[in-house]
Amino acid sequence: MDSDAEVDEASYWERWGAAEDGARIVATRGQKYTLIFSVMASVILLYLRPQSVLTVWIAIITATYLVTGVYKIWLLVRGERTNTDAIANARSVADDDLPVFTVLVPLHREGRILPILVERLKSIDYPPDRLQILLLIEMDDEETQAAAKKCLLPSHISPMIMPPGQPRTKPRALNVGLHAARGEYIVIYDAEDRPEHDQLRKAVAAFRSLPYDVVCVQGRLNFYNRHQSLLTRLFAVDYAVWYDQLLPGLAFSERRRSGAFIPLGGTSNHFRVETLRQVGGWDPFNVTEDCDLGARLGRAGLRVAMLDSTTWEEAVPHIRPWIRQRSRWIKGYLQTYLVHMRYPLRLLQQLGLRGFIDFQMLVGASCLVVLLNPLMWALTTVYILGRGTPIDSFIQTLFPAPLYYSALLSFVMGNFIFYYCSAYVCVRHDHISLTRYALLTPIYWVFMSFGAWAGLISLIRNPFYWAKTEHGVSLPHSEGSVALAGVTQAV
Amino acid sequence: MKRWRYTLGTERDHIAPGSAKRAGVGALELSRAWETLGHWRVRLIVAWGTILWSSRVYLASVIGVSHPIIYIRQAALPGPLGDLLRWLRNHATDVWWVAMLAVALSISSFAWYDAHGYTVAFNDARIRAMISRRVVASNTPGLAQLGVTWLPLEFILELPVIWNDTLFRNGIAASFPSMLAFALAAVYLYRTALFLTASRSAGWVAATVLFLNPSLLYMQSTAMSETGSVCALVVSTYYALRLAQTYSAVDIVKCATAVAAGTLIRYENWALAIVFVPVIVYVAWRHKGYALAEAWAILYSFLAFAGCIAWMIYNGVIFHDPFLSFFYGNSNHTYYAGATAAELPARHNVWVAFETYGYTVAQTVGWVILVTGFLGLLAFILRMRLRSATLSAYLLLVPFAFYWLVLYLGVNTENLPELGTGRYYNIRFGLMMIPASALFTAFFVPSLAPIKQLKLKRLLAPGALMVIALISIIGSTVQTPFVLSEALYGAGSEGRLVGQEQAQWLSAHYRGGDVLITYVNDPSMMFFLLTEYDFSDRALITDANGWQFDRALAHPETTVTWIIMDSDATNGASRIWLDLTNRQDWRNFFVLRKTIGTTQMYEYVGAQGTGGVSSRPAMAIPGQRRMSALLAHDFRVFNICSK
Repeated sequence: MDSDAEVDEASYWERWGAAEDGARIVATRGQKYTLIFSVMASVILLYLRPQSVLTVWIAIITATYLVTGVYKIWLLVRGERTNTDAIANARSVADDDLPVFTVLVPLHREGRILPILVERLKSIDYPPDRLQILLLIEMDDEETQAAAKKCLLPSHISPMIMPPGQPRTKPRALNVGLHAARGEYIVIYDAEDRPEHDQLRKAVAAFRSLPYDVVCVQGRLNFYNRHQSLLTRLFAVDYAVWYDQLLPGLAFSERRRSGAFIPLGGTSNHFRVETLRQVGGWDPFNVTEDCDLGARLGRAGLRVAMLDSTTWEEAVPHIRPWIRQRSRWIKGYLQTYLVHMRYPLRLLQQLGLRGFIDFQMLVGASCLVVLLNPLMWALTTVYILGRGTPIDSFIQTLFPAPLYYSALLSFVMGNFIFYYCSAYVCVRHDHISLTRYALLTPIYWVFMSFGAWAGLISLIRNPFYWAKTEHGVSLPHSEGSVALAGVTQAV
Repeated sequence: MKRWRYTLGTERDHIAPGSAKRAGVGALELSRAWETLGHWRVRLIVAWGTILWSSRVYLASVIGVSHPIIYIRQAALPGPLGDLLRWLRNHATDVWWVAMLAVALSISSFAWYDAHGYTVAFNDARIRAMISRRVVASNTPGLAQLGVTWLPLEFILELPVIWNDTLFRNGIAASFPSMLAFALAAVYLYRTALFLTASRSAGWVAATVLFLNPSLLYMQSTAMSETGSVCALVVSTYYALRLAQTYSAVDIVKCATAVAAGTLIRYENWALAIVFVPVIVYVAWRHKGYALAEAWAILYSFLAFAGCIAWMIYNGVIFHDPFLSFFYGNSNHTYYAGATAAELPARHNVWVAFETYGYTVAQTVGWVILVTGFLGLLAFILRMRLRSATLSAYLLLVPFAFYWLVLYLGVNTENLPELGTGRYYNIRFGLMMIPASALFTAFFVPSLAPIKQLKLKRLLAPGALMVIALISIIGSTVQTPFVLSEALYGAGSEGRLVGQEQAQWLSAHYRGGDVLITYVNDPSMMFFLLTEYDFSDRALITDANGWQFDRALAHPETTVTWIIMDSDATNGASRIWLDLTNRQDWRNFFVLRKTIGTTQMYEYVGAQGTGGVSSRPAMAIPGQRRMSALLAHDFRVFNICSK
């Protein structure tokens, strides 16, 4: 295994280490020069013509808000048309016809949750002789290795120790796992995931019913500890909006054409192994390797569909780790944006206009909006509080009539629609206990902006740092050890 | 370009030669129009006109009655007609036919009433027609111009068309939201009746009662808000009914959207929005208990009351007065609090309040429809009782309870000469009961079908449709539509004639420059100046122009050539009157040229003794100003709150 892994390591290093389409190079020289030139030009113009430059900036920001808002509303409406592309009957494929399925579970310091994870993996409804489950454990992760040794693992679940090397990230471990996979299909689960028992069967049925260029089916994600804290409730509302409404809308609008872009979720994405290998697996330097992979699949003319099955995850219940997690996501999105925008015309050619717009809106503009939100909130607050003062007059001069009304429309209607949409999705998709918490969504937006700024700073200071999310925090402290005791007794 | 048709023939001698063309030769003098019907020749002409017009209504009703037969038989015709009919058979659903008929009736009705000058017969219609216009074409354009006592949705809907001079002056732009609402209301009433009864005939009966109602046909031709309110009621009720059977979040959103639209059309709908809450909560609670009831209540309220909250925020920002206390100071319970028992006969008298509103409804919908509607309601109660699936249908009755309560509490009043309470006033409240009358009449017709002894059951629906069409045609041709009586003979109806006369006189003597005038006190005059005498919107400096108005009021001699001041304080004292009557400085530059009614018109003549009328160089009519510069002061332009 070790020698295989080393071979794999070497080949992927060759693939990703110097890749122009990889995140190891955060920004190319051209991108850096463009950025520096833009900043310098803005500063000089700001000095020479401050009011005009500020007005132009505000116009650009307003246009970004308006276009992003209209785009997301369009997606929400499209989401009404369908929930899932691949509504598959789990029993439509006979047991004898089921192919070998590989499940990759990357683990890092997950000793506490491992026994529960093993139990969940054992409960997957799929013939064990056609199931290969690989627990991907880092070499220096003694805690997880020790926990794995204590568990009674059935023959189809095996730990796999990662070879030494850098970067020690989840996508690198997945690439090693992909190399060792012997299944026709492969799926990624996180340590805390609780997929619906028949999800693999549904995935197989979906793949069999969909065209061959659909190389990935994405399951819905939601949280089993959604009622643990206010934050988990708001997080669950956010996930419901994304996975129940926006993503199906995106998948629906893209399903009739190749070369579409869909940002994949971190887990529960099922792939055809052969195609995944052909596109090079995951970028080990990208901290949101899932989003990047979605873009690369689109650029290769391949498609993604939604799977009518939910995987229950653990939501981060406390604010600090939540912001860390969010900062990683935003950092990864920014990495992905910089990677794929190195040659914008090539991206446009490969994704087509619609896919290109999807990419700009979902990756570029979404990050920009959450980064800009605090600035615009501050500007609005100063404007309201400073009524009748010179500040008020100055702000008014920055907003000529068309800009003023566009900004007003964007501010009032945009915020209201997204605010309302949170409540709507809760009722529409049967999360009715969360509806009242949807009223607090604006608080969540503030947290998101904190996370976004933390992500931007992290991208500048430490681009490959993986801010790991601690799992198992929703469990009572004793639950992990009780589960562990149960598993070891069985030994 | 067509103009508003009624002008004052008696004043023609005073019109300057250049203005004679503008006066509209051969136009009908409004107040005498109905009186002159006594002459047999005029009667004959009116009768022929009426027959021609009503033939459209009749044709529409005939199509409505017989369209399934025409549909099937004529589709077999060869040639292009057959192709067309086959296409219609394949593509045109009942909803499509209802919509087409409603649109045809709407346009015909507008053309008829516009030809007679009645589309602006209501004082409020004239003022409303100017509100949206000033958002795009006043001295201080901007959304702050929406800030009046009336809710803004219809003015916002007019914005895409009101900027066009032709559409503004011929009244189409101002009536456009009402006409749209009329067609929508007909379609949704059809769908509501169909949904409740599963009978297409019932749907046709309901739609026909609505779109052949003479009062509604008149009202939808005007810039008044009642048709929009009827539409919001019908659409929201339809989705509330659907919700009780589909339990779909989409239907909650649609229902709440219609309610929110209603709350931005008339204040009465704020009460309606509240009444929807318990109905929706009850339906949800019966379906899945408390959790769903809470979720639905949040989802509904969030959107349904958003308009109310937005309006209060708007007023807070623009006027620093979220609850519009200036409005309450003039027009509602505070205003009526000091009224005598003779002025408010229905106050604290349940029966008189019931009688007043009941009579209004009966006159608006017609006695026959009222009776069939009542019988239909009884049948509905007996069959459906309080089932959650059909409970929402009772929401159409809320306006009756609301206006009854309003009259009883004395918050507002209605005057009916038939009941000896003075000249017509607020009788248009009765329009809100048309949907209920229509729906329950529609329910009554199929409810007769199960009666075993009843022969010719198949003729029930066509027969009902024929009766309704006949009643409506007679109602709209022989009689004045009930609500039009208020505009023609009601309280304040003479305002348009005075305004017309004032505008005509000023246009004849105007030689350029700006005019200082107030919206609040002289809206009719201003309306006719803008629509009939081609005055530039920017030639009028008004109380809606903020600092420009203040500057002109402080130094009229350097800013305007005419001052129009009105001593009548019915709608609040004129700021010009209050300010200038206490000052003498401006009198050295202006002389009183004319007094019409309570309005005085002063013309700039230069400093006394330095010349005459022409001593000051004629000022050009102000040109287009840069919008951006004006909008920088957007939040400070409107001065109503300071009155």
